[in-house]
Amino acid sequence: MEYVVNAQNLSVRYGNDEPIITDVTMSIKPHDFVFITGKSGSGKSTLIKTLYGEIEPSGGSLSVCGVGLKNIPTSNLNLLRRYLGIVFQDYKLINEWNVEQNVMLPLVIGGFSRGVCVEQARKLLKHVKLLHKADKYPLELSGGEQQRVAMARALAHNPLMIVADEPTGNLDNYSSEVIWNLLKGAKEHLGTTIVVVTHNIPSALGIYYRHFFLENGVLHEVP
Amino acid sequence: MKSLNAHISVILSLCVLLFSFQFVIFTNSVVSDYAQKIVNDYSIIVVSSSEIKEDEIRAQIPDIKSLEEISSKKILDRLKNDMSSKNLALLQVALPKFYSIKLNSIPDKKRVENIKTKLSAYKNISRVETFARTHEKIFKMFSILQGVAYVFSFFIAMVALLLMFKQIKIWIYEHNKRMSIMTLFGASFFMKSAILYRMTIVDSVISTALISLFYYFMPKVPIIQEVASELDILIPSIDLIKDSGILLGISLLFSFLVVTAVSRNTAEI
Repeated sequence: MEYVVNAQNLSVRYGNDEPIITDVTMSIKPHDFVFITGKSGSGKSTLIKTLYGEIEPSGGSLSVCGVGLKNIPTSNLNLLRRYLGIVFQDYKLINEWNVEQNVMLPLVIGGFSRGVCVEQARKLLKHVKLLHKADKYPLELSGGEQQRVAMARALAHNPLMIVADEPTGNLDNYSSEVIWNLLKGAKEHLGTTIVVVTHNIPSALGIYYRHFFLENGVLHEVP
Repeated sequence: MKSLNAHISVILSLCVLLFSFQFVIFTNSVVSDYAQKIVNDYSIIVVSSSEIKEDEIRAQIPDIKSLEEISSKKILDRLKNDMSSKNLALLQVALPKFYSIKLNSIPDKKRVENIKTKLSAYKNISRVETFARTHEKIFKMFSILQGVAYVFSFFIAMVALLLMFKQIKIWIYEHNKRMSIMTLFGASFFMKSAILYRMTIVDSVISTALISLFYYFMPKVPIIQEVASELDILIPSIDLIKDSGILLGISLLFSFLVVTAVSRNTAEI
């Protein structure tokens, strides 16, 4: 696969409103670490939602992991999402499930046996230093801890690409640093492609990354 | 408490649905049992000057179940003390033959008239007595009651289904966040709706148990037994394994259909 994400003159609009994204052309290769920045309301979240199929492209073309997202059937979209790890600003953990069950979610959906799911979930919880809270429920955790659980969930099934929408937006400095290190580790050790929408690129990330800036619905790569 | 309320709405709807279904079966059973009783009790009496052959009559009237001669021995025995044996022998030869005709199914007025006309056309048959009126009236009343039960059960079942649709919609809103998150991670329709199916399985089992127990104990209630014996009807008892199995199947079928229909129609992410 040459490109994990390939967008050509992509435009996105909600219903009959004015397009939020008017012209996005970008190609993201495997193992790339990409930041997308822009002012509030510039369409960053819309762009990232388009990448995992929550919003359908209205013009141009977009393929993710080799799958075209325009008019994609639900069954194909479900399959595509099993190759992605998604991290949200508001964590999106299932409050009725404990931490371990939340981390296991992508593995259960992927059809792995219970033994494999539990083993992998515990391994990742140890990695994010939350194994001792495996039996806790999300509402018993701090925001930083919840986001670490969300990161563990995003990594659980070794996805081809992680898309993260403001993953540190609500976190303190320590938790933010933990999240950046986990994303960096995923790229370096697992070769995962990372696409992050953020307001602030961490100053001391210590790896090569690409930076795109979204302005008035048009995406520019910052050299 | 909130969760119990959510379950009660579906359990109640399923109970009403199963009650209507079982009520239709119950009414059918009572009416067909009563019809059989009428058929068994009912006979057409024919008086003939000579012997009638069953095959001959059946050729003309196919819905005849049996033709039996009524013995004149009882009448002759009664006259034994008043008449000489010679006269008695003469009377025996002169007496016409009486036959009882039983039918395959319950006769209506038109059919009885038709049979009567056909039998009267035989030159040896001097009289045909049908006695149809009382039976016909009671059976007609039961048939009307059966029709009313069908219509009543149908509307009740429709209302129950509408209630279920509404409650499943509420369930979907309650579990919307979980289902949305599962969708974002690529869960199939059935996987993300599994919670709803599990809840309906539990509710189906509970409602089936309640309705089965109701129909199992209902015929044993003294007042019901009293009414049944006054009306000369048999109240059918439910077979706890076979009938409950059917009720559970119906309950699961309807609840799965409702969950699937409502979930599919609810906007997906």
